[in-house]
Parts: sequence; structure tokens; C-alpha cells
Amino acid sequence: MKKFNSVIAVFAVIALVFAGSFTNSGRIMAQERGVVTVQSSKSFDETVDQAKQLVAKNGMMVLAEVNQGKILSMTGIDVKGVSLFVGNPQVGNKLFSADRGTGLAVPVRLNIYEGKDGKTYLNYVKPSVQLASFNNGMINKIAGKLDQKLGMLTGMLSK
Amino acid sequence: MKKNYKRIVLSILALFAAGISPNLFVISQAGYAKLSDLAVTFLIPSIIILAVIIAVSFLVGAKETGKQILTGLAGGAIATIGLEIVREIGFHMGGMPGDMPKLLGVLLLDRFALGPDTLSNIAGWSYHFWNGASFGIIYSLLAGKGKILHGVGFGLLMAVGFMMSPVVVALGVGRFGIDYGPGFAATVILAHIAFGSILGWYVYPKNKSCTDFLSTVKKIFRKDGYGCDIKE
Repeated sequence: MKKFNSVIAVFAVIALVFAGSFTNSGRIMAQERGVVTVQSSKSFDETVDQAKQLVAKNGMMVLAEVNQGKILSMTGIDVKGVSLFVGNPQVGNKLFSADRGTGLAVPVRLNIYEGKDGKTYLNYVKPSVQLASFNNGMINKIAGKLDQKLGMLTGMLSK
Repeated sequence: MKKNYKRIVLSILALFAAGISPNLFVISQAGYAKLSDLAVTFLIPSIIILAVIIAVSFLVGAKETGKQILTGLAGGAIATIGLEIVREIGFHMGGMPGDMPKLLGVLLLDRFALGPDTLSNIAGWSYHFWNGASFGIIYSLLAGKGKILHGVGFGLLMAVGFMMSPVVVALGVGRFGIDYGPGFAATVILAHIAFGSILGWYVYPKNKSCTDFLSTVKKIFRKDGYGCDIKE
């Protein structure tokens, strides 16, 4: 019986560690088909401001901003949503040198929005998923680095 | 006789200049150029040209034409208030897919991606009212004194023209709003009837002694005088 209890305890610990790995930052919501969704600990406006600062701190820049909330306000709907197109000229240079078609995936789109539950989320499609179809080792390597950068950035937002 | 020709030439130039503003939105929505670029290249010059035409008409002794233009300008701007009341009601009842002056503002300032702000809204509303004033000038010069019913007819022509233009295609509602629902056509038609009736009501007493454009051209050829018989 004692042996049985210790087996259960070991399984319980493994289960807890396993579950904990999915809630690494405590706020990563989902990673389905390469889409990463992270819940921000801040308000919508604060998240947008912080995201811009974090993009700069992580060696990237906001190349374009689409305020979807304000655009949609012209149709009479009240939503909060901003898409930031982030990139880096050096990374862009390497990717476009490897394949001109990579413009399909870069600059990377970060989508910040307020959910129906009033909480703020950030989601993006992993660059490694978007760039996988190019079947190019160099591109895959850069995409992996971009994944890491975005993971770090969004991790900071959720703290 | 020479004076009559001056009036005709000034009227044609004014009609041309007034026709520029409303067409810029259509051209931009057809994908030929950005409204922000068209505004700098054509809209601002057309406003200056109209101001010059008004000034010249008073300087060369054709002040009736200048007055007719000013009457149309004021009437069109006032009539736009009527149009806006109907449009706003229609928009909030779901009859319109978007807020037109706000859309005009972001296109005019080339900030669609950032959405509307106070400045773009001011720009959009100003452009919308200027379009109304431009149509007012066209009506005043073409219809002369006209009748309220003529104004309504003019408004209906504007509505039909709008609903057949590339604007509605770009908005995704289809010609006559067929892909959006009957509320679209109803809102557009009612708003333009309001515009036309107010314009006709305003212009009639102001241009009471004026004949319509075609009649004035005919009179030129019959050598029996021109348009407005305003005593100088």
C-alpha cells in the first residue's frame, strides 16, 4: 500500500511539473497551429505602449501600426484592437536575400486586442510556422531566432 | 452682349471647378489615386479657382454670376445639414455600412491605418460640407431659380449617381447597396431628397430672377439678354 501511495505521489509531481510547463509565464493561453496567444497583465492601452517599448528593447522596430479598433469605429462597432508590424532591417535583408517571397511573413504581425471578457491579449503566428513553407535552412534558422525573440517579448508582457 | 459671354464663361468655369471636389472621392475609391494626393493636386486649387471666379465676376460686372455661385455654395452647405441628419439616423439604425465623414477624413489625411481622430474628423466633415456646397453651386448655376421639386430631382440624381459609383463597390455594399440590404438605398435616397428639397427651398427666392443655364445659353443666341435680371 505504501508502495502504491509513493507511485501516486511521483505521478502527481510529474503531472504538476507537466502542467506548470504549459503555464510557463502563467498567462500563455494557447499555441494552436503556430498561433501564440498571451494574456497581458495590463490594460489595453498600457499593453500597446509596453509592446512598442519591448519591441525596441528587443532589437526590432514597429514598421507600421493598424488601429483596427479605430477603423472599425467608423462602422459603429466599439472594439479595441491594434496590429503592430514589427521587424528589423538586418533580418529583413537576410530573409529577402534568401527568398523575395518572405515578405508574406515579415514584418511579423503582433495583434493586441481586448477580449469579450475585458482582458487584454496579444497573439501572433510563429514566424517559424509562417516561413516553414520556404524550405530553406537559412530562413528556418532566422525564423527560429524570431520565435525566441517574440517569445521573450510576449513573456515580458504577461508579467 | 459682351457681358453675357463673360457670364457664360464664368459659369462654365465655376461648374467645372465645383465638379472637381465630389469626383475626387469617386476617383480615389476607384483605385486611381489616393484622396490625400488628389486633395493637394486638385481640391485645393479648385477651391482657389472658385474664389477667383467669384472675385472676377464682381470685378468684370458679372456680379449676378458671383451671387448665383455664393447662393449655391451657402444653399449646398445648409442642405448638407439636412442630409447629415437623415444619414446619421440611417447609420445608427444600421442602414449604412460606415460613417462617411469619418471615412473621408482618414482618406484625406492618409491615416486609414490609424483610424479617425479629431483632426481627421474635422477634415472629413469639412470635405463633406464642401461637397454639398459644390453640388449647391452646380444646382444654382444650372437650375437658376428652380423649384423645390427641381431640387428634389437634383438630390435624387445625386443619390442614384452615388449608388452607381465605384464608392459603393469599394465599400462592399454593391451597386444600389444590393449586397447590404434595403436600408442602404432607403437612407441614401431619403438623405438626398432632404438635401435637394432644402437646396431647392433656399435657392428659389435668392435666384428668383435667374433662368436656368440652358435658357441663358439660348437667350445668348437669340440676343435677348442673359440669366439674372438683377438691376445694377
